[in-house]
Amino acid sequence: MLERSPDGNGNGAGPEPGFDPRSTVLLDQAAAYEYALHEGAVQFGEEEPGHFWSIYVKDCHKRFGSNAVLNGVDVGIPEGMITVILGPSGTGKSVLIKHLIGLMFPDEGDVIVHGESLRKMKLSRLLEVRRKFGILFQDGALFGSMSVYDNVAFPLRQHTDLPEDEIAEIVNARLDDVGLTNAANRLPNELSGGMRKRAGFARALVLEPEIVMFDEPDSGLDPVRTALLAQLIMKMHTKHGGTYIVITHNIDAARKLGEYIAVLWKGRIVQAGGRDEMFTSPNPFVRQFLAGAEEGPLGME
Amino acid sequence: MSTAVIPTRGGPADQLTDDDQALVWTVATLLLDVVPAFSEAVTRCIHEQIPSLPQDEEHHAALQAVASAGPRELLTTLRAGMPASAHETPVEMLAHARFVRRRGLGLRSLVDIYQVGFPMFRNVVRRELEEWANDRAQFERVAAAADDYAFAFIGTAMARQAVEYGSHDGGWTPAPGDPALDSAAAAEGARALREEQLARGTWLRARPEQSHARRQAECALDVFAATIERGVRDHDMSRLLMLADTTLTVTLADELDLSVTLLLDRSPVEVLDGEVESEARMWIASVDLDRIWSPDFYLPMAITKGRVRMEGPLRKFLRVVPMLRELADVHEQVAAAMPCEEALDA
Repeated sequence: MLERSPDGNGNGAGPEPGFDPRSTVLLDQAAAYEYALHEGAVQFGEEEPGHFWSIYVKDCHKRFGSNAVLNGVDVGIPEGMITVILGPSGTGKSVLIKHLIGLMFPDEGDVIVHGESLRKMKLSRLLEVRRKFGILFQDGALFGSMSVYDNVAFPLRQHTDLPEDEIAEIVNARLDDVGLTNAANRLPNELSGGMRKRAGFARALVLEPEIVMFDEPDSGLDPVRTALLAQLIMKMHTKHGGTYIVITHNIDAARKLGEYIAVLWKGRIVQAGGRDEMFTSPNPFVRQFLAGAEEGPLGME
Repeated sequence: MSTAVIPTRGGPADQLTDDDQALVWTVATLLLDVVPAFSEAVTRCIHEQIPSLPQDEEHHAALQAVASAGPRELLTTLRAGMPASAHETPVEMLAHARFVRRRGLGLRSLVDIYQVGFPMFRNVVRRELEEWANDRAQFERVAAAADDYAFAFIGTAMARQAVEYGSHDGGWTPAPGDPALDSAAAAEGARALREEQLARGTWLRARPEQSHARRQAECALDVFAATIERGVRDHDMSRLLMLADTTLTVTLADELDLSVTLLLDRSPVEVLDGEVESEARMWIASVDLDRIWSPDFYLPMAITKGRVRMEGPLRKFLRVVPMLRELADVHEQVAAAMPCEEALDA
């Protein structure tokens, strides 16, 4: 219940310790409105860090000059699910993904991966932890001079001592997974956008990562290929398990893929929860965003 | 008695005594035996009350399946002591909603189905609570708490099913005084079922220990273990499940002395009967163990809602849980081959 402060202008005494702005006095209507939108994420306490959450982002703040990009992001990424981080353009999604893999560090707060703080980690350990991740970049990020086969084999040759026959077995299995067996010898510029994504996906899976991240996987794809890629992502998740994180502003992709959905807006999580909870959410922003509706609190600003 | 039940907060359940909780557990345990008979009777009643529903075999079977899943869910979660805040939409209800939608039935028809089915089940429960209660006051206390619990369940499940129709405002949450709850047809259906079954001598057992509830839960555990074993043996799952690199004891929340232990840290992975010292533990209701293979059941969400309890680094097991969906067909075959259902029907 939102209430006006005693003097009617919000200029009463400062907040008490333990003050919860959503349930007591608020400074003005705009702030009240913003807090009303903010449901936060599932708060599930772990016995020990890493016992439940795959990644836990704790009150993460990041500024670039005067621009606060992450504004107290608090969200857990559950292990073994496909999590979609959904948000409008320019809301901090790309900055958040860089924090998740330790390519960027928060000004305040922390990112815990499998129970370990990235902030407190030595570089040698951070490099080891990064091997838990497979990443599919927007454009596939393939090496233009290498064939699809060599692109997929690259992480194995770089990070393992496996003999070529074993590498071939793994690469061919992953190419088969993504339906690119017949394109193994082609160069990236001979592939369609969808094929490049699939090649990037095969490469992301080749080291059996525990966490696979997809940065705007639907970018540059038509709706049919986006749907097919979503289907492939779900199929691979069932086959290989682990935690999948999809960063997107595409609501259709979120609907298809999201088992757990976190809605990011203005640098913080508006609401995060299981798909059932999110698609039945009474939160006006979440409802508007997931329905792709014109009416609601989200405007053109 | 296995465990306390109806641990809701802030509702009528706060007023329940240990004796009241025992009454709920007893009635839930006994009623599990008659879920198959109830599902047949309620399916007939729904068809009679809503003649516009398709009358074909396929629709009848789908309706009967959900008429069994809903009561089993409620009775089992009560036995497992699950809070009302942990209610989720059973995957069988979701499957039914998708089925009826594919068949061209609207959300209104789905609500109609529940507005006949749920009041009939409620009448069955209330009749038995009345029968087994020590006095009128106890009956009223417990019946109010049971309503509280069941209304929340139906509300949750209906809201989720409405989303299948693209509606955020549809569905139905029963409330005290709701005219749908006073349906004469539902009351008569419940009465007739009880009378028929009593006449045949197939109504409730004399004591909860004689019911098949425990055997039913045990079956879910046996089928779970056998499915993993067959997946490892016939479907080359061992290497994949070993990625978890952990040991896990799975205990039934509705029968706390029934467990299996998964040794996922060796090749081939092993499944042991009973409780063995392990790195992690999980307490899960038998109905949820049956659903772990479904793409609509999310174990991590069940944990955050307090539906499934965990201890130790369960995350390691959660890594491989999506792979268990590959064994959905195997699970179905194993369940069909196990003599569980025959035992329950005996």
